[in-house]
Amino acid sequence: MSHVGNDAIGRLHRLSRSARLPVAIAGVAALSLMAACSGGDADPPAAEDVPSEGPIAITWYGSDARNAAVQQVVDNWSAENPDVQIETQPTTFDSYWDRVSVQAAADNIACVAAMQSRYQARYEDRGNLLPLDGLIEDGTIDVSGIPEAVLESHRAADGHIYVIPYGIWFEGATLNAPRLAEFGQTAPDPSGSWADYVDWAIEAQPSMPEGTWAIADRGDQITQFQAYALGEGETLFGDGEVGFSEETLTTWFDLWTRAVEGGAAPPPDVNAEYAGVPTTQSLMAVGSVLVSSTGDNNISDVQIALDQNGLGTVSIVASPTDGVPQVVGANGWAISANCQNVAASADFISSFINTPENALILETQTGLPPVTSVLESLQDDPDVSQAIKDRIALYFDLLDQGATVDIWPDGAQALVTQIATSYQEVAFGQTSSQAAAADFIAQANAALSGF
Amino acid sequence: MTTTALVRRRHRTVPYIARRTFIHVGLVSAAFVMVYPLLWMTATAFRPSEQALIEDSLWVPQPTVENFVQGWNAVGQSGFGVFFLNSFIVAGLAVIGNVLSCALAAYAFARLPFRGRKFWFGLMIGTIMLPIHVLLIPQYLLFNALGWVDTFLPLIVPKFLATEAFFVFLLVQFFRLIPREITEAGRIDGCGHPRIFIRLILPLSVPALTTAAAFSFIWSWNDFLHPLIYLTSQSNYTVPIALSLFVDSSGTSNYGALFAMSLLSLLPVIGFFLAFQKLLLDGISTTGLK
Repeated sequence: MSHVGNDAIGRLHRLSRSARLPVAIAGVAALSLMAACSGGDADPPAAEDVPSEGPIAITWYGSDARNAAVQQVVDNWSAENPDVQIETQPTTFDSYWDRVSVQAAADNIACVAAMQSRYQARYEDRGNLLPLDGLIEDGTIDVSGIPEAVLESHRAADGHIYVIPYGIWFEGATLNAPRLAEFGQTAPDPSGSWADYVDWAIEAQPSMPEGTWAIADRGDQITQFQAYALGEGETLFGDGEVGFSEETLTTWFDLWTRAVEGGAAPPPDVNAEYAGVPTTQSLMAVGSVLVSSTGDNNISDVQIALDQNGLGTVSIVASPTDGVPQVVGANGWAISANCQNVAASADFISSFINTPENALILETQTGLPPVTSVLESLQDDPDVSQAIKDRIALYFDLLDQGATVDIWPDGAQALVTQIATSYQEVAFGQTSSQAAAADFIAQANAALSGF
Repeated sequence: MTTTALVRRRHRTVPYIARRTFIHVGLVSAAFVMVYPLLWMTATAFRPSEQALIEDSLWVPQPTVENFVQGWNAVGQSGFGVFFLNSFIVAGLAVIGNVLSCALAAYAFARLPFRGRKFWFGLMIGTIMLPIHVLLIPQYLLFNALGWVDTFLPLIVPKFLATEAFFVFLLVQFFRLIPREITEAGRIDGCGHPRIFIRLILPLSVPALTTAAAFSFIWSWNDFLHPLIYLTSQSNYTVPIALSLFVDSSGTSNYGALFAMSLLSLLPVIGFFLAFQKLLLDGISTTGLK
């Protein structure tokens, strides 16, 4: 039986863990049936083996501004390659995965498809993507400028690389140091853990005015819990199950309950009210909390809001992992297994990540460029904002400390909302921390195991 | 004293007036709660974009049309004019297809005797219960094999094949209310089924057909998932897909433009309702729809 066929039953078993989208479930079902009847496994193709005729479709996700920037890069490449007919298919992030799931079912994914470290495992596992090792080895896709740790993080369980990163992002703690100074406080030590941050916040809170909290409640954030778990010597994901103990999650919930009860973090009703608001209207952006966390690409939006009201300056530091190397996320390009012009697709990807001009057009909207020399050219460019340069400097620090790209297993996306639900039940007094932790782990394990 | 005079006197009493006033204030308040989101969206469309989600009042001290200008030209290289045109093409042809094909199917179920009619009718009704996600993949595979992806055909052609069981059911219910004596009279006068359908059934069924057309238009106009799956080129996007591009969880969102274009996108639906309001109400009341 083929590689695809061998995986068919396993794929069908994985259907039910696609809890995020009914569309994805249906897509996977049809895909599994098709995959069982499809062709066999082969070595990753090299440049001379791949098809090189016909148009290419390029699909990606993002806001309108981000899509326009990527479109401009595509247009520039198209101008240099007038013989290649290009069709672009941009859409929003959430819609994107609905569409790709269905396209995958019909082996009709665009030649060049954006992937993301939290979603790509599904398409890698199910044979939708072309292994790129051969094209990397012969230099068709030039990845020489990407740090080895970043590239190797993308190696799938079968040993192949299917996705080339084009934008790196990371989460960190955010500090409003000038505003803290107004209240006679200094920023917490960024080398500690979230427990140290909460201790600091409870101590600092008495000097805060009414309606201002020292720290945001991060109990419902899976990525911040991940930082906490790393600090405890555990991981978010194990092999088909969670990689952390019930005790660790219980102490995480207890930690934030202590912060709220100590008055250092907003009460749960305020937290719930602000859940899901745009970054520009978050509690950090309106100056109501002085320490929080967010993705590095959101810092500019927070600062714009703070500037409007003269409420300080936000800076980002590494995630509080208690000194353990943190993880980063990545947007990446993949070539679909059904692509009829792999040569042009590979050339586009290589050009996208290695051309410094592209980085200037994209302005890090798609994440920090993965190629070191491109990042350095941004740092040297006087027209690039200091905020971007600071993010790059911190990213280099994170790499030096051993950061890797965190590839989530299929089914893990459901955990993002699940931990929020579990934590809110604790915060509103509906259940105990231990019971919520046990319940979360049971549900997470079910999602990760495929049932 | 006449009965009319007694009623008038009773209407002038203080308890009556107070009760009526109380009821009306309550109803107006409830109506305001229902309409508030629409009013807020209208106000927000005229507010500077950076204040879009901050202000909850309906008063806009310095209204601006900047959101409309930005929104109309913001998305992609096509502009909202193209998206509206695409939506009108898809929704317009969907209405024509649904009304024509579902009326034909409904006539067959309501008036033509054929073997297994109840079974097929039950099967047809049963398709209403199929979740959309069950159908999505097989349909996509089919349309992809036909080379119809990234065209309007997958959104239009099925409408001409009476695939909307709800409309077939609605029209069957209405056709059954038409007295058989009328069609029998037509038959005695020499009409076959085509002429009975065209000359008798359709003219008598205008309220039901209007209802089917209205729902068909609204559902098609607002449909997000099917256009998302089938239309991949931005120049083919319909309005709901284009609207979604204003808000994205992975980047900065333009809420002002979103509300401005959302307001514009409501106008055809409201216009459709206003134009056919009486027929719609007739259709809904006579087919037992709620």
